Amino acid sequence: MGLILSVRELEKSFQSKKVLHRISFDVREGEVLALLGPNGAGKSTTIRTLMDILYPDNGSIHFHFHTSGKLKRNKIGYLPEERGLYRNVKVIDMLLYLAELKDYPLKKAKDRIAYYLEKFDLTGQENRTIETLSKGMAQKIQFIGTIIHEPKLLILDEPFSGLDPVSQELLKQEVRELAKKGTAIILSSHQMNVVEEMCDRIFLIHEGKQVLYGTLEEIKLAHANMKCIIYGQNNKEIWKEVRGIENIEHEDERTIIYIQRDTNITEWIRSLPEQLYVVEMSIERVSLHEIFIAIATEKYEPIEGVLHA
Amino acid sequence: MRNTMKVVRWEIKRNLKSKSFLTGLFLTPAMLVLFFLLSSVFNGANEAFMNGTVAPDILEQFVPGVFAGIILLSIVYTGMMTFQSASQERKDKMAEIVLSSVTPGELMQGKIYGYFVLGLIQVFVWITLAIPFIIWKFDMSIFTYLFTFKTIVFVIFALLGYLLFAALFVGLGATIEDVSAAGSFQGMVLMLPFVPLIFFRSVLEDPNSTVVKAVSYIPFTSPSVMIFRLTILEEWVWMEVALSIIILCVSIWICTKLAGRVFKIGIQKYGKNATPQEIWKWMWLS
Repeated sequence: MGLILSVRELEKSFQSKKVLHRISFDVREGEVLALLGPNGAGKSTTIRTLMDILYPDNGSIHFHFHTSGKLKRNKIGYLPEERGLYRNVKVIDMLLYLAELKDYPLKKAKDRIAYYLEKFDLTGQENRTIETLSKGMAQKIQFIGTIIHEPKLLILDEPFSGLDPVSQELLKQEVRELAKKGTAIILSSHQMNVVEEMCDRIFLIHEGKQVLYGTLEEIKLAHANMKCIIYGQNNKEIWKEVRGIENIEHEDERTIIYIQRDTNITEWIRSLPEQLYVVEMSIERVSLHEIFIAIATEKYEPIEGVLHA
Repeated sequence: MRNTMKVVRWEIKRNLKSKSFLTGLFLTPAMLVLFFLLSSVFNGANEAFMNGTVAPDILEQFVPGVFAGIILLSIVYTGMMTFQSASQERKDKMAEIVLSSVTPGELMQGKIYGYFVLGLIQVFVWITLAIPFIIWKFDMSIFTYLFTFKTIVFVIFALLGYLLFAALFVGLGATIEDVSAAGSFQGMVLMLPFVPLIFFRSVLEDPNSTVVKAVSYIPFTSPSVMIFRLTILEEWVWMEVALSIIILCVSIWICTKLAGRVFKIGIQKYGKNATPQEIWKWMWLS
């Protein structure tokens, strides 16, 4: 997969406050990269710097789809978090204007608008004014406006928030399809389940610094321990004999055991005492959601994240 | 420039399709004609004027001035629409999307030129509607008085006035998200085009007084004061006219530059209207 975008050692300060500390990442053709981080981590600053709205103090941004390496605005689709469309214009006029701004040919734009309106179940709505649309409809229209010009790089900021499950599924499907066709996608979201479901790689920043960068699997292998969830009434004392336990949480009938990182899981299961009462048991990796919360609340230490309670 | 033209075309198209613009376009002259007719019914004092027996030399003097006055009025009005338009961009939360395609400078220029064309369309419609009425009412050949060298000078002043106010207003509009909550500062700036009205009496009394001469050079008053003053003056001092135009051009350049900086930062803010202190700060950030 070819590279689409390379960011190297990006730095940015607002007055004396440093908001980006030498961050570097790549985006490849046909992949979905999650740009994650708690509020105020520097995600928007990163995106705005990519879009040439803000200028970096240091570092480089290189777009590989153009020989100059400079930003080609008509090859990028950007869906900002703040949703908006001109209120008092017709759907079709709005979409054609967005296509024109990107230098996309009129004829092709019309065809694509018709195609997507049908796909998103909006056929026949093209002559309605935006203000008469429901929020969900407007959001779909905005999504169409973002991809109308067949961008090579798509930047989506919370694209699925506020949509009903059916529409959400529709848009997710479309994002996957676009990626399959080779579009590079940067997706910023706080919905970790969406990220786990959609993204190939993850770039997580906190307070302007890179915290995690890699494929979902890599990150989970490197940073997320296994946890064992057991339903069933047991004496707490029982766990004293079991080795390889990092931390235990008791909640009525449910016990969550966080297993130390380098423990062999099958051996660990075999080492469970016979008198353990199990109604239900599952072993899984700590979810991205939990890693995220640990980072955001600063309980997380990137390399030697061993916590004893 | 290509991107600027896209914004220009969009602003024109969008307004020509909007009901409020079209209403203003046709209703305003209709209202003026109506008021004029009503006042002529109730007021017989200016009978000579009503009967079209005005001396030709007075017409020669006033027609270009009145013409320029209409342009200026229309242009101040459309200049204010750039304010509305920039603020709407924020209110509709479109700024970030549009700025992913064009630069803030292109967007701003597009708005200024777009509304410029709309202003001209407005003037054209008003004049076309007014001329048959005037010819019918006064039975005079207005065109002989209209197409003179004086008219050109007046039109130059009117157009320069537009560029100055449009730049000012478009920058100001970008500092505001909610027009109804606009601060007194923005309100005061919006009143600037009407400041010259204060001096109209002085111009009538003595078009060559020191005060009048001074305000002929101050950029925010010079377009309308000059148009009014030159209409009254029989002899023009060309040096004064040229100087006033030069000062105006330089002011437009400076104002556009500063407005561009304010526009660039303001248009991307969310949530609140900017304070004068903030605007002042943005003006000097390059």
